[in-house]
Amino acid sequence: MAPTKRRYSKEEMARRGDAIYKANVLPRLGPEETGKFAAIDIETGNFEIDVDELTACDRLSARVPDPQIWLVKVGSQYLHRFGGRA
Amino acid sequence: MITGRVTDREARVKLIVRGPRKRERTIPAVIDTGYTAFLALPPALVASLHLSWKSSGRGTLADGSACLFDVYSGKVVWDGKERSVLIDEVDTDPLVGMALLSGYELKIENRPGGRVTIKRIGGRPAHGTRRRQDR
Repeated sequence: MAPTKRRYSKEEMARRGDAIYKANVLPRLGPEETGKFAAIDIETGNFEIDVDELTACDRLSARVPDPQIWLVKVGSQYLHRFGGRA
Repeated sequence: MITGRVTDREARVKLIVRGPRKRERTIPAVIDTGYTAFLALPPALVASLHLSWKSSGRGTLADGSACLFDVYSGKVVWDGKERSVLIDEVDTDPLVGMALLSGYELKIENRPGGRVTIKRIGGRPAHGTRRRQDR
């Protein structure tokens, strides 16, 4: 199988990913999911939650062929932090 | 155990990073405890290893600004074992983050040429590690 490639700009990934997260993912999450990772396919809206971002991506890839994944850390504005706190 | 040295006020280790089809690079990486993911590599290294794209995400920089970046999957030899990790593509020197260090004790003799040691705390193996009996 050919490796998945990004088919949208990063900005479009963020726009669609944020919209699906707010409308479909966040309302289904409880406080116990805070700090976990949500892998969201921006084309189908399917998503997976896990404490480990690689596991969340792999589980989603097993369900959705060739997914376009937007990764979110639940309860955070960002997925990863680069460098110290501002 | 992983060992390295302090150079130019940075704690550095050498890592073997692997992509598909046995592509492999040995890279010097800086230990960055302010970085929350596994491993960050610059675009040229991501391209040369032919890493597979996995996802995109939003990051925050030290000045508080946001950036969009791509995340790739790859393998790193960590403590003598191959681990599957997510690799962030960012315009920086290679960085080792807190996710890769999870389950390990980091010790830095912080002086020029000082020894850097990263030792497993014990208990369960880190995520993504393939144990011999799993193969």
